[in-house]
Formats: sequence, C-alpha cells, structure tokens
Amino acid sequence: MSEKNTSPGGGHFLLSVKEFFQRDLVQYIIKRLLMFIPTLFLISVLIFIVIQLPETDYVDREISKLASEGEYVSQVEADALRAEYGLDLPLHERYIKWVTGILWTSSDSSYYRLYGSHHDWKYSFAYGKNVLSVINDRLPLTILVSALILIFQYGVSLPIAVYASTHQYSIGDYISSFFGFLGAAIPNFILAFMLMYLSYKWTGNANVGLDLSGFFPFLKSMIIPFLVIGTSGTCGIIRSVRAQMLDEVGRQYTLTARAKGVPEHKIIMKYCFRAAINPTVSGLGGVLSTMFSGSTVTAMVLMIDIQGPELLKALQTGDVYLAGGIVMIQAILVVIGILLSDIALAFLDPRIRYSGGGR
Amino acid sequence: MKKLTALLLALTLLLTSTAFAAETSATYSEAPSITAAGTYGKVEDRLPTAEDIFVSTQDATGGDLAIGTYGGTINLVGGGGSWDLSRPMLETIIRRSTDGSYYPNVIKSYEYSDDYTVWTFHLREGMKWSDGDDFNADDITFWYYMCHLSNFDTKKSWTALIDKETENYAKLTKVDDYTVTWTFDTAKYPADFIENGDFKWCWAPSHWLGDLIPSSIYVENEYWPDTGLTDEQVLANALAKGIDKATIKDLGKAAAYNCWNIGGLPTLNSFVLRAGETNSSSVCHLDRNVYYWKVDGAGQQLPYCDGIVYTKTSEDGQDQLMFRSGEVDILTVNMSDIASILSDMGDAAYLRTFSSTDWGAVPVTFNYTHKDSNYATLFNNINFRHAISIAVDRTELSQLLFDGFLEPGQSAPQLGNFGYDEEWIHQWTEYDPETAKSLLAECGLVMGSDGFYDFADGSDFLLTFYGYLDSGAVDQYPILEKYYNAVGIKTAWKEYEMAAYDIEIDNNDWTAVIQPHTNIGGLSMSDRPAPFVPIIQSAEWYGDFGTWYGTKGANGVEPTGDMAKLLEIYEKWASTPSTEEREAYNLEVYEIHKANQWTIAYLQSEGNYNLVTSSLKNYPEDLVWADLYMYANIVHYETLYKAE
Amino acid sequence: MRFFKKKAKSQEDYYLASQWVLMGRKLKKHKLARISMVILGILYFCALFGNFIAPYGLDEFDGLYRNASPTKIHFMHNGEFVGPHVYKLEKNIDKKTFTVTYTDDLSEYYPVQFFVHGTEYKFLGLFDMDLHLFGVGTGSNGGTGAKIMLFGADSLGRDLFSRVLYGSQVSLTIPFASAIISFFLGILIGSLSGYFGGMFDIIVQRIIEVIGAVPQIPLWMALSVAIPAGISTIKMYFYMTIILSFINWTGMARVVRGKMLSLKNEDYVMVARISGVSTWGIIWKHMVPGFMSYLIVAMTMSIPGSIVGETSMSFLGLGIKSPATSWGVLLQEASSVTEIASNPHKLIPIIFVVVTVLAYNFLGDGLRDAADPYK
Repeated sequence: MSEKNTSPGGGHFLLSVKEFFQRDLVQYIIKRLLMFIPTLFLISVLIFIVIQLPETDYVDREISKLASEGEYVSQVEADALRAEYGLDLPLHERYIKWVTGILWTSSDSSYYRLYGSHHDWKYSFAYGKNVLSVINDRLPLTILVSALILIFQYGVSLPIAVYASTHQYSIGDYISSFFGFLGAAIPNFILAFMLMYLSYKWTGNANVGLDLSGFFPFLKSMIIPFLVIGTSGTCGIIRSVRAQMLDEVGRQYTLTARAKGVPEHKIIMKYCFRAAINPTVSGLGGVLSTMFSGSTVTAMVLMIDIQGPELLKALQTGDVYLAGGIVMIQAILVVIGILLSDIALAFLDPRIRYSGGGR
Repeated sequence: MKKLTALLLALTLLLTSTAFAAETSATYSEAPSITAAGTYGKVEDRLPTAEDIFVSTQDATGGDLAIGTYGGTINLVGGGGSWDLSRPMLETIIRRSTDGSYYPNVIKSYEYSDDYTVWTFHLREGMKWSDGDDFNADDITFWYYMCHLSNFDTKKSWTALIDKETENYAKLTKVDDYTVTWTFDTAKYPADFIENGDFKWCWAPSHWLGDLIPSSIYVENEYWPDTGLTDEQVLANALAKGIDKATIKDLGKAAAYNCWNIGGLPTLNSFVLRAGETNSSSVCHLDRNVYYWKVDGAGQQLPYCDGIVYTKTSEDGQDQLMFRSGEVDILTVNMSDIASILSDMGDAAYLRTFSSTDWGAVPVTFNYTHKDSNYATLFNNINFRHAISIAVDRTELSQLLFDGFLEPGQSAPQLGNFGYDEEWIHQWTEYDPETAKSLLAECGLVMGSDGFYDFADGSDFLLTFYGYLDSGAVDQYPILEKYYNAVGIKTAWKEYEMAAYDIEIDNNDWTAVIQPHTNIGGLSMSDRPAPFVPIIQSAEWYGDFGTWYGTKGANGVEPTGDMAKLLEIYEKWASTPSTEEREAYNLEVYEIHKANQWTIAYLQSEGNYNLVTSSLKNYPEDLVWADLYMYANIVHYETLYKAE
Repeated sequence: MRFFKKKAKSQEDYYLASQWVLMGRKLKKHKLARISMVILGILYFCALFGNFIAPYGLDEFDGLYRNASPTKIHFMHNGEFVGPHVYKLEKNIDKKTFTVTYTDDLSEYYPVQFFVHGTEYKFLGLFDMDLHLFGVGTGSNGGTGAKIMLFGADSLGRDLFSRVLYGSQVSLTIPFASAIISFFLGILIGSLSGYFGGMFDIIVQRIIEVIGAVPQIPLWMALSVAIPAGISTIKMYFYMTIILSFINWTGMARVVRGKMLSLKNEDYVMVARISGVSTWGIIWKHMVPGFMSYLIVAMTMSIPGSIVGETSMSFLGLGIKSPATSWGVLLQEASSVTEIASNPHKLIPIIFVVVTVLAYNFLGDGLRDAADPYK
C-alpha cells in the first residue's frame, strides 16, 4: 500500500489521496455504526433468552426461599405475583416490552414522572426498585475498584514486560514469566482464601471486604484484591507486550536507529515500546465493560460489593430484568469499546478500512 | 406536678404485684450516648408510664440476667434476607420462653371473653415509636384497616384474623387510646389467634405511613378516611421518604410487612435501621431505639449496646475470617467449622449450642402418592420402610459425615423435646442387611438377574433420589447408595436447584428424596402443624395427600388409613381451647407417626451452633433454634452487653 | 537473518527441511518447552493409566480416614527395619469442642506393596482388572483397614491422590478436546468468513461480536442449564466440552479470518485461483498451512485458560458435579477457610493445576518461538 501512495503523481495527487482516505474513514465509521444496530439487536435477543433459560422463574425461587424461612405462599398468591411481574406473558411479548421500554418511554408514563428518564429498564423483583437505581448504587465503588486495579495491572506489568523483553532468556525474564504464569494458573478464588487466611495468621486481621473509612485504610484493604485480581491480569499483559517488544526490537528501524547511534534506552522507550503497546491499547475495548462489572468470582470471595457479584445473584434468583439490565449495559460497553478501538485503529492504519467490511 | 407524678409513681409501684419492679428504685437511667446527644430529654419522658414499663430480668430459659453496662456495638454478618434484620430486634405481640410458655410483650396485657369471641388488647400508656411519636390504639386500627385489610401488606391471607366458621374478618374496635377489641363471629381459640406464628404484630406507624396508602386499595372503615392519593402520588411520596419502590405491592410489602428493612421507618423494636439504609445495603447499621420501652432490673433503659452492625458476606468463609479477626461477635457455624475456629481463637470465643427441633439427621422419605402404582404400593408397605431403615450402618454413616459426633437415631422427637420417646428414637436403628433383604422380598419384590430387585410384574425398580443444591444431600447420597445397592436396591440421583426441586415435588413427579425441603418435625404442632399432618401442599412425606386437604378435595389424593386418621385428630386439635387436650391430641399424632415412620432418619439431629466473642455477656445457654422462637430472636439482643 | 550466526552444520539440509521439521528442531533447543513437554507427557500418561496407578476407587469412603492428612510412610517398626510401611489410624473425638485428632495405631504395621489387588476397574476401558500399582498389604498381625493416602483424604475419607488422578482424566482432556473442536470450528468458520467476505462475513462477525460481548458468567450459567439434572458422568463430560468449545471458537475464528484477509490477495493465491484450483483447495492446501503453526500456538495457549476456566465454573457450581471428579471439583472442595486452616493438604491439587498451566504456557512459548521464521 505504502508504495502506491508514494508513486509519482505530484502534490495534487497526494492531496486527493488524502481526501479519499478521509472520505473512506467516514464511510468506514458510518458502516461500523450501522453494524452496531444489528449487533445490539442480536445481543439483546441472546441476553433475553439466556437470562430466561432456567425453567424456574423468580416467583418459584422466592416461594422456595420463603418456604425455607417457614413462610408458605399459596398458588393463588403465586399466580398474582407472576401476573404482577409480567412473568405470565409469552417470551416474545416480554422481550418486546422490555426492549421498547429501554429504547423509549414516553413523557406521560409514570416511570418518566417518577424518575425523569425516558429509558425504562424495568425493575428488580428482589429490590422492588428500578434497575438503574440498583445499578447506580454500586457503580461508583465498582468504577473506583476496577480503575485502581487496572492502574495497578498496567503499572506493574509494563515495566516488567519491557525488562523481560530487553533481557530475553535472562533469569529475570524467566522469573517474571514464571510469576506471571503462576498468577494466571492459581484460580483466583482459592488464592483469595489463602491470602485472607495468611493475613489473619500473620497480622490477626483477615482484611475481608473494603474499609471505606478513610484513604489509607481503604488502600490497605485493597492489598489482597490487588494481589489476587492484579496478578491474574498482569500475566496476559506482560506476555503480549513482551512478545510485541521482541518483534519490534528485531525490526529494521531499530537496527537503523542503533546504527545511527541513538541511545539504547531511547530506542526502547521511544520507538519499540510505543509500537509494542499499540495493540495493547487498542485491545482496551473490554476495559469499559470490566470497569462496569469488575471481577465476579474474586469479588465474591473478597466480599467487595460491586456489580459482578450482584449480577451473579440476580442470575441465580431469576431477577431477570436486573440481570438483563446489567448484562445488556455491559455488552453495550464492550461493543462501544470495540467500536472505539476499531475506529482508532482505522484512523492509524488505513489498511484496516479496506479489510474491515469485506469485499 | 413533679411531686405528684413521683407520688403516683411510688403508689403504682407499691400496687403492682411484680416482685422485681418493687425492688427497683423509681429512677431510671439511660445510655451515656443518649445523654451526650442532649436532644432527647429525660429518660422518664421517653419510657411508658412506670407501671407499664417492661422490666427484663430473665432470659428465655428462665435464667437470671446480669445487670450490664452500656456501650459498644454487636457486629453480625448477613442481613440481606427479608427476615435477617428482624432477628435481633423484632418485638412481637407476645414473647415465648423455651419451656413453651408465653407472656405479653409489646401489648401490656390481653384477655378474652368466655366464649372466645371477643379479644381485648391493652397497650402500654406513654409508649412511643422510635421517632418519639405516641404509640396508641390508632396505630392498631391504622394497621388493620389501612394496611392489612387493604392487603397493602400483602398478607391479608393470614388466618389469625379470619373467623374459622364464617371466614369473615374480625371487627376491630377502638375502646380508648390504649384499648382495642377484636370481635369474631364464632369462637377464636388462642392457638389460632394469639399463638398463631404469623400474628407477630398488629400495628403500624400511622403518623408516618399516612401518605403512603393509595386510594386504589382503600377499604371502607369508621376510623380512617380514604387518602385520595393515586398510586403514582404514593410512589412519589415514598421516594421522597427514601423508599424507592416500583410498585404499590413492593412498597406495601416493604413498609407494612418487612418494615424493619427500611431505614428511618418508626418502629417499637430495640434497634432501628439507620435512615437511608435498607437490608440490601452492604453494611446495615441498627442504632439503639432511644424510646425503647424496656429497662433492666436496675432501671437502666435497654438496650445496653449502642447498635448492631450487619456486614453482608457473599461467600461462606468470609464470615469465619471476620469472626477470627474480631470483626464479628456472633457467628452461626456448621459443626465441622467449630474446631478449626476455636483452635485459632482459644479463649477469645465460646460456643453456644441451640438444641434442634428437627426429627433426626440424614432424613429420607418416599412418594406415597406416586403416579406409578408399583411404587406407591411398595412405599406404602411398612416393611419397605423398615428395610430401608435397617439397610444402613448408622455408626459408619455418622463417622463418614460427622466424624461420629452424631448418635444413631430415628426420625422422632429428639431428647429434650416434647414427645420424646426413647423406644421410638431407637426404632429400626440396628444395622441388619440380611433382614432388610428378606423384608424387601416380603414386599413382593423379586431379585433380578442383575442382582437388583425388580417389581413382581418384572418391571425395573429404580429408586431415584431427588435433592436440592446446598441441602447437603449430595454428600449423603453416594454413601446411602452403597448401602442400598448392597441390599439389592438400584438407586439413582438427581440434584436440582431449590425452586426446580419444589416444582418437581409440587407436580408429584418424584420418587424419593434425601433431605426433604419441609421435613417432618418441629417444636410441636402448636409451632406449625403443617409438618406433622397433611393439611397443605408442602411436606414431601405426605405430598398429594396434603394437596387434597389444602384444596378441600379439588386436587390431590384422598388420604386413607392412618394418613386420614392424622387429619381427624388434627381437626379435633384445632377446635379445642384446652392446652391439655391439645397436647394429648398432639401425642396421638406422634403415636401414628411412630407406628408408620413415613420418614426415615439415620442419625440424631445436629444442633445449631453459635460462636460468640468472649466479651459479649448475657448470652443464654441451652436455647432452642426454632421458627416459633424466630430463631436468633430468642437470644434477646437488647440484654446483651459488652465487657472485658 | 540470523542463521549465519548459528552452526551451519548442514546448510543444505536446513534449506530443504519442511516447516514442521524446522519447528521441531527449534523446539528441541527451547529447554523450558522441552521440559514442559516431558511434564505434560507424564501427566497425560498418568491420566491414561489413572485407574491402575490410583490405589483406591472413587467410591471407597472411609469414616476412619475422614480429612486425614497425608499418610506417613515409616521404615522402622519398634526400632527394627521392616521396609516401607504405614500404620492404621486411630481417631479420637472431643465432643465438647468437636475436635478430631488422629494418632498412629502402633500395635501392628502394614507394609507398602506394589501390584496389590484392590477394587475392580476397567483397564483402559477395555477389560476388568483389580490390580493396582501400589497399596498396603495386611497388617503384621493380620489386621486390615489401614490405607496409604499420599495426599491425605477428603471429607468422605476418600484418597485424595486417587481423586487427583481421576480428576486429571477430566481436567486434562476436556480443555484439550474443546481446544481441538474450537480449533476446527475456528478454522472452518474463520477461513470461510475471511475468504468469501460479503454477507457471510458480516453475519459471522456479528455472531463473534455477540458471543464476545455477552459476559462469560451468564453465558456459562445459561449453557450449564442445558446440562440436565442427574445425567451420567460421560454425558456431563461431553456437555462440558461442548460448552467450552462454544465459547472458545470465536477467538480462533477471528485469528484465521485476519490471516485469510491478509493472504487472499497474495500473488500465490492469485496464481492458484487463475490456474483453476478449487476454493477449498486454495483454502486448505495453500492458505491454511501458511499459518498453521501460528494456529497451533494459539490453540496451545488457549488450553491453560480453559483449565482455569473449568475450576472457576466448578467454584460457581456450574461445572462437573460430584460424585464425578475434576481438579475444579477438588479445588472447590478445598476453598473454604476451615479446609485451608485445618486441612491444608486439600490444596495439593493446586500444584497440579499450576504445573499443567505453566507447562502449557511454556510449551506454547516454545512453539511460538519455533514457528517464528525470523529466529
């Protein structure tokens, strides 16, 4: 491609090429945005089916739970509840109601008057309140915890990756890959239990849950989550950045720069690292969704009250609209993330625009 | 004026015959934290009038309480379920002791007419809601007409207030500010009224809930006018009060039924959930009710502790770690976890064992109304149950599942419980696989070529056990399977999530279960009769027989023989006010169970174990874990105090 | 570029060698990858002959040995050398504190023996056999009931060592089988999508996007709902494989599609097309082999993820369920504070998960380095 662009033809031709590319980019973005719609449609259908798959619904589970607590619910009451929750309607009708409510709820609906929003995500049976309120309750903490963990992951893994790639097959390289793999190999849930128990044995305090009483107590209570969620994630980053770095270090331009006498650290940091981190950054598409939900299993074990465990609970109790809401928002965030990173890549690398939409 | 009240106080103290009240001085004291706040006024003004104060001197077992000191918080885990927060603080109409007796609690006293048609409740004068508003008869009429009969609380189906014959609701009359009467068409016996486990309260804060009752559910009555509010206005009002609910039903259930789960809602309980919190908050703070109406023997206003803090845990084990760290003061644990925690903590914790009202551990039962007559006939043959019982080596089973801590036993009232019978608890507990085999042959089963019994008509006999997740059955099945296979019974296993399991049971699509969801057993029939007699569709051991009675014969299978006899006795039991007669009927029911053994249990029941931090005092010993006692409520948290 | 530096022992040989031979050679030089291959070989061998190596069966419960820690092997009995032997345990319980302690019953010893007769099993699934690699014989005074439990016992008194072996039959093969299934699915769908493009590509892209966008846990839960209650171990095994491959194929398809896109306009593909090679021929004979090595690396790298994924599924109660055993089931049983505090031997299965995951990762690393033509 690059050869074609620099083929003779003068400044005028170059300008029109530029223009062409710019138009192309716009087209690409529009195309991708249009694709967004069927994808979301398919996702919403899949999610709705997935969350309704279990043969028992919320009412069944609530009745069973109450029976365990010694309270009995009659069939008549159960049917009334089911009608109240709209669980007696056929699946497709429920789906249409759900989706249309999310897309647009008119100004003269009581939902709009109560909450001032045109998007009715229905309500959580378990909480008896609307889905967005339930999600909002946990959102700040979820974002805070997830962001801190992301920062920790990248802060730790990037230097290690650079070191490992510049010292390939050294002891340091082996040790870092070993620990990277180890972090990924020990299942998070068991590592969390072990760390909490060791923490109790060594300090007398198991550091369960988050301490929100102040900044330093909070950081202290984040140590175990950092170790658990952090180590499992760093492995992937270290490995991909290290591999990319190794590719870049072997490239022609690196050799040229070295031949020209550019200092080694400058070559590494300014050229190789930049190029190597590119795919990592563009892979951040999933980050938005991670920020929204957090790591479920680990958060469960560590008792951090964030979105992930909430979702699991909603799925287990058949609280379909809450589960559907969380999963849907998460999926939308993934798709937006991919979209953004695709657009960024298309902007950076013209070749992608051609290949993106097929022939 | 002051002098006069003091005089009156002294006079009433002299007049009241309660021994402990006479010993206490007429002065009352309050927690330092209340005095420090300085905004609540004098403690005497917050307590009911002197003769109406509740003086707590004994725990639920009748043991004397130590006089405690103020301060500290009780840290607990959980709090997410609809009833969790109520356990340590709920105050009910009456309160029960472990010996089965009960006494008026929130109400000062009650009486009934000779024909049991009119019940009178007397309230405590000067008693206040947790926000300082007066508690009086209006709060009763408001609850009954605006919350209950309108079905705002979603519990209109309670039988306590429905006449048994005419099915009319009771008529509630306000006699004066502190007296109300309930009038029924026909006799309403204590068992179905004041002793009815559902009927825990009959009040709601009218001053607070007044603008939350929509016009749409209004029921005509002489005390409260229609509010004229639309559903939407009510939901908006609720939102303004910090209650975010999407429907009237959700709002009503939250505000008028499980009302302890809404922070800031005025209550009569010892502790009050902090405003802005709900049971779904990750941490729940229950603060002392500064208007609480109980004092200790020294005149100190209860509760001793400043509050209760509930931390939600999502996985087993977090709570145990927190208990080890000293962040939790009371912890319910499994037997298998006790040793590990105590060895880590040493003297810092002590164990309290609640005796269980379960009828044995590792219970199995069968579908006596099985759709396949081969199975139904077999199960109804007592020899089959006998064979199943003696086919298992109970000592080995106990070793495998409980390290031998549980004794071999049978499904029967356990030692210390009403109806305990030494012969019964050891009935069919001798391990004897040979006799089991011959008993099975006597049932008409024939040994097939594969070494397993078949039905007489040659069809396969497969005993499929059902169980639900987290019931523990999954660990018990493989062991039982070995024993059953050894006597020639082919078995299979199906595990369901609890609700799916219940559906299989309700649909009568099952054969046998390990760990039934509603097992036979309990304190006694006056706790709840349903586990003992087939009256509703709930317990596995009677299955569709219960449906038949519950639906008045519309569905299900009509019981015959001893099953029908149970219903006969139940009806007699339900229609007598005499405690002695009821006990006699109850024992008659037990006799039938002993003769039939519809449920087989292999071991004596496991207790319920609570570990308690050593610094927490007044935690009674020998309590009983039962629904009737509202589980942990029997500990009486308001009397717990902290001291080193 | 660098091969001048390397030993030019037989240049010609090198130039003529096929891609696979070259890869094999380079792999041999990668020390860690070689070690990993040996370790994986041993693990798979043990899984294959698990029933023979395991001294006890899956349903050999023993109340005496409940939660017993690993059996100590002694050589001296009463100050006298009698060869490797074990003692029977004696269980003491304290009913007040619910404490269980074990002591050795020194009255007689039980020799550790090779090739002992024990529970019957189907050797390699073919014929009945009751011979086990090792076990304990009868006691010196004719007693019975002693057991050798190298990794201790679980909460039903079963031998953890045996369970780890039985578990490996599941945990080592499900991720492998599902990786292979998703490998072929990925190649098939990815290559079609990349080669033909157009509507088919758009649809496949959407499907990949959709599966990728839905969070894993609900997807797992939904798929595990499809596993009916009370089915046989083999069926459960089958379902799990399908579930894991269903989630994994998208990654492979994406890689293949990308490669297809970049290769389909290469001159050699054009030549093949002009000379009338069929579409399938072009894809399978000319294009896929061009990046097959890359795909195998990707496949190898996806296995450890599935192994850890299986443990997480078990933790959530979605995967293989007891009485069937997998490493995930074993870890799930060990994941409580009481187990970690009182029975740390139950954490031994972690070592196997970690070693396997490490071995697969290092092998994948080695394969990648070997497949890289520039090295």
